[in-house]
Amino acid sequence: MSQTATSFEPVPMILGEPTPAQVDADIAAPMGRIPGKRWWIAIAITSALMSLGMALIGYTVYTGIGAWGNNSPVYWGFGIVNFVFWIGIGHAGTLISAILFLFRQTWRNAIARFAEAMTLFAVMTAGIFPLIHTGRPWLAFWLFPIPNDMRLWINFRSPLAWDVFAVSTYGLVSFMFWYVGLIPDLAAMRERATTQAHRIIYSVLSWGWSGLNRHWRHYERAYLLLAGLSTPLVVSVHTIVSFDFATSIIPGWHATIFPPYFVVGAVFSGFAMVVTVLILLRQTFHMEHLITIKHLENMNKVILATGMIVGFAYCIELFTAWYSGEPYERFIFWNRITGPYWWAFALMFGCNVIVPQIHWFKKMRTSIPIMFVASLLVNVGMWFERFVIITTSLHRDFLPSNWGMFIPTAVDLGILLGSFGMFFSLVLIFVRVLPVISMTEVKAVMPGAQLSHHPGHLPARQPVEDVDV
Amino acid sequence: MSESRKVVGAVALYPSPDALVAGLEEARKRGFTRLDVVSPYPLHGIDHLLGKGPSKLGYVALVAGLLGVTLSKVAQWWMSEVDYPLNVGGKPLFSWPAFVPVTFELMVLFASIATVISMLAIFNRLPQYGSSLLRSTLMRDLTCDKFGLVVDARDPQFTSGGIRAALGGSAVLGIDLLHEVRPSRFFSEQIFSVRFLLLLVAVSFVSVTATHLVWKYAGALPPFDFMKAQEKLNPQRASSIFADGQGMRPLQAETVPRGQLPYRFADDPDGAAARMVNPVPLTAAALERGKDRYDTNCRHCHGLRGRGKGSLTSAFPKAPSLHGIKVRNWTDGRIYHVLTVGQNAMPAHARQVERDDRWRIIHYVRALQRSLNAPDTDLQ
Amino acid sequence: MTTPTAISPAPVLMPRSLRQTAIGILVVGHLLVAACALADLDRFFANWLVLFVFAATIGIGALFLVALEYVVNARWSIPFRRLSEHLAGLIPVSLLLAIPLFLGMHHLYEWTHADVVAADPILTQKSAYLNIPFFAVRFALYYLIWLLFYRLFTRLSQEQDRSGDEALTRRGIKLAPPFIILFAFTMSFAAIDWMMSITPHWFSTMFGPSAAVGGIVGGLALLTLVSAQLKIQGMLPERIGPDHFYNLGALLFGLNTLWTYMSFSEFMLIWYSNLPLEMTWYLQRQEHGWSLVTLLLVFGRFVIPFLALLSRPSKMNLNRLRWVSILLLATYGLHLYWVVLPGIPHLHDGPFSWMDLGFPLTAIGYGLFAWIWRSSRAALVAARDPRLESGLSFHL
Repeated sequence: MSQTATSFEPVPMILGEPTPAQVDADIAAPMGRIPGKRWWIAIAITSALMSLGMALIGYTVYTGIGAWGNNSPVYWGFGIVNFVFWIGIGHAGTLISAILFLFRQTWRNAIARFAEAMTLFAVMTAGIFPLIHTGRPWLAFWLFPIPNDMRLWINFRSPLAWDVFAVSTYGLVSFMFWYVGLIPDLAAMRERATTQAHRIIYSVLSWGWSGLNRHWRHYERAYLLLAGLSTPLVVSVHTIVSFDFATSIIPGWHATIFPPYFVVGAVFSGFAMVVTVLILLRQTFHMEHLITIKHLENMNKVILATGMIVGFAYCIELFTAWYSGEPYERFIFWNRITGPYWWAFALMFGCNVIVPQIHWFKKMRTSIPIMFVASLLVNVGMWFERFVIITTSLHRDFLPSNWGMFIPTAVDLGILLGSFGMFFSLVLIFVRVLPVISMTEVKAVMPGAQLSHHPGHLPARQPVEDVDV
Repeated sequence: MSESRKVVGAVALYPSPDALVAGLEEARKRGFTRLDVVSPYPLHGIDHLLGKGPSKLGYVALVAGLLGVTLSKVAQWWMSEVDYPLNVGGKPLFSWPAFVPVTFELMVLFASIATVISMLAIFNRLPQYGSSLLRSTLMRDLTCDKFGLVVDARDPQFTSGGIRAALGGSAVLGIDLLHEVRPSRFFSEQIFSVRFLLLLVAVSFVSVTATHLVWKYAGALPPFDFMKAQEKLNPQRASSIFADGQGMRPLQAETVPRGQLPYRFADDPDGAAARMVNPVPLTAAALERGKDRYDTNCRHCHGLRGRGKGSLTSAFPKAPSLHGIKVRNWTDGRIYHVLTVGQNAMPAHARQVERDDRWRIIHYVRALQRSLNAPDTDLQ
Repeated sequence: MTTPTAISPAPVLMPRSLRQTAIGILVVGHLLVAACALADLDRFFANWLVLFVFAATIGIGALFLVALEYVVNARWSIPFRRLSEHLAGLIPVSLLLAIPLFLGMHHLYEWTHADVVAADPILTQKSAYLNIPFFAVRFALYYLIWLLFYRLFTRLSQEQDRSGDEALTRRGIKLAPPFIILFAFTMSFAAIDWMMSITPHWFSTMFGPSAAVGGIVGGLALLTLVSAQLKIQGMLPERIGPDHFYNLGALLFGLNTLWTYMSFSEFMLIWYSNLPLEMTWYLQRQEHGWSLVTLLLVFGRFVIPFLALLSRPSKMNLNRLRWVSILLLATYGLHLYWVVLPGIPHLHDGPFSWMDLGFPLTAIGYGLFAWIWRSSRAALVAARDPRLESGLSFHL
């Protein structure tokens, strides 16, 4: 077979030509056995971090937000940075699940389940921050327009109110999308169950799914509709998060390009996190033939593309700040580059614009160690991007008498570490109890999985009658 | 296996999609009409062979989405313009650009929830834990890598004895008869059954009540009550901030409270008469204000035109007329003194009338006096 | 295997009637345009700028679609790619249209008036960027880049008609990412130079990117119109079927929604913070009858196309695709009109005058001219593209 003849043939997304039964077995394997030492060590570390975070959150609730570094003039500190960071990471999951589905990119089938789960865990982790940063989280229900004895309604004109709706909707819809996708797999797990307890649990969770075509018809349409609804939803969520900043008048925050810039940045950091975790996952559970180098390479290409769009947005912002002639606008950006937080800006720029450039080279984007380090650096860069945006714009705005520095406290850092602990703990637990790859979706696109001749050209026929067994 | 339970159907197992299609076509040719296909993943094109068109779920999503848009617009309008109108940053009460994000989110939320719930509960009538197909031994393969053809016993062509022969062919891996399942005592089949819904209502009631009670009473415990029990200075209370425990603090020596200037001539009417001069310029505005303040503070005793015919007659001593020669000869400062510290039955009006307003009243009184005792020059 | 026998690589000449129509439209259009020039020179230059930007951005948008196909390795669009390349012929045509623009700079841009700049400290600060020589240099740079890539992409595609060589496709795949990056920068800065600087005190970071996406939507709308029309007339291969058009319609739907989202968020953010400096731009487009145009744009550019292309079957309906594309093109022109005219002092008094009529006609005329010119050079489908077979056999 000459190079030219096969050079445009689609690259196989499953290596080794396993049978569907083998695919099922490979995916179900981690759930069946007692976890190995590595898993226990990992969850010990992540739970420890999570407990640290929870303890510090408890301390914050007891003592007050003074335990954090927030102070005049930087009233929004790590709380918001972490919130935006985690919500952003969630967006990659929806993009892989929903948007790549709409574009019929079947290579997404092996990674969609995990990515969707990652979205949920990221949203759960992100949701903690708006809750605790109010200082009195037990009054969180005040954020919703519920009739109350103070005869008040929420301020619908505030982007923070929009956030409430956006994040809640996003969490709920992501959960439903993930769960609906799980149902056929849970049915398969039910059939594979070895103990009665497992059988009952999976039976209940799978809603009695049997695989009848009359169920699949509606199921597929529901999946398509959810994908079609999730796509604008994910764009809207990070747009609304960007509105938190862009609706203000502060230079560096009030930029009309924020909505798409934030959305692209979210996809960028999310994909990096997916790459990070998938590399660990595929190696630990010997799923390299299902989550192949090609999958990772495709994701690295997306990382490169979105990273360049983020870089482009930086350039437009810098140019427009100069072009505006406004001293405040110009100063904010000058201060970002040369002021006391120059090192954060350098990290951000280096990790977001320079690091992804290695993915132009095929050798780099197909090398596991290099892409692993690159994905970690991208996430560092994106965390610092939010830090730079929030802190540098607030710490030196219009009145010099109002200038100050933001210094995070140990509590801030501890809660940030705790959020990573929570996220990874959830991932580790998920990996043990549910199939990380969608058995159904992967089998559906294997060679020989579908009818050899699509009967669409045949004449229409009498519909069959309802079967009720 | 000699059950007397009714046979409700049969399922045949095939190794591949193409074998399944062959079996399906064969069955249709034999006249079977109550058929369906079972597969571990959706088979594209099988709908066409079964004569089924696209699902109507899209309309549900559309209607629900529109409902979400309408509801959110109406709710936001009512809450922001009708029930609790608040001027936020000068924005109009119905700020439609600001309402777009929430409207969009609610549209997606309504459409998604409606899609999922109606797909599961209405269109697919799930969960169906009592399905006999689930109890077939072939189910394991059917959820893994094999494909099935299901025939309902209600099909006129179906016979319990002959179905194996009817469906049998070289490609068939196995045929299973499906037997009726005894309905469970506890679990009803449909999600919209009365018992399940009542259970949901009961659970909601219990959890709502519990939440309410917890919030109400836990709110009195630390740290939730920290906002109420703050270490701040409350009026007329003891305070732990000061060493002597006193909340209300005495005036510091050598200080004057804000808004209060000491009156130097408190015991010295002649000094007031001689040394104080009306500092407020005589303007139409000053006279207006003076009239207004006079009508509020002086008229009830001294009368509308200052002639002493006030409305307080019986219990109070009569107030003197302000047009008498004595008062007309007083300087402004002397009148100011009377206003500030009082005289005889007239109490001090320093607290009711602001300092500058007292001077304006004096301007007005002068105007009143002039009105009843105008010099000849005024008439020319 | 790489040469489907049914499709010939020979160009198909457009019928004479089309050429005659194009000439007729151009003549009438130019007469009306000349009348406008004689009546109101400011209006003439403003409308001409609209015409120029319309033609240029659609051409570049069409070229972007070509590059996009190479980058994402799409198959379904391969049968349409040659049409995009033909439509990118508007790029050299628009260069021709740019000539009157340079003659009219003083009418359009207040920063070209030295006395105005000297009196205004902010304009003086901006004069390092907004001055005629630098403007011209940038203009030349943009066109150099666009024409270079135009030539590279069309050349390799036409050569492939002769040789069917796979290496040419690989070259296309290599050229595409740099072009897309340069596209983002050049289109954004071109929009800033040509349109945003009309109101030199105003600035918006979204303006450039939004204009770039608008150009892509314009190019895609024109592509949809041309392909639907050719299919209806039976000039496209049989195998290009409803599934291909579904994807085209879906892409149009999605990109138009994206553009609407970008425009709306730009508006919403400026409305929300209500800064006098920024708000004036929108207020200009709200007074003196311009709010009618704004309303027309909201309905014509978003509401109607959104509803019209929402359902699945609608995207496969050629007639539907045709009129929605026409509507999108018309509203794109109207959008540019709405962006440019209110910024020019006395044109702010009210939209629409008889003097504007010649310009849309001229636009159509030049479009037809570009089409006839390019379609005579190469076939309507990239007949010997090695991946064409995979593209033609695409099914949903």
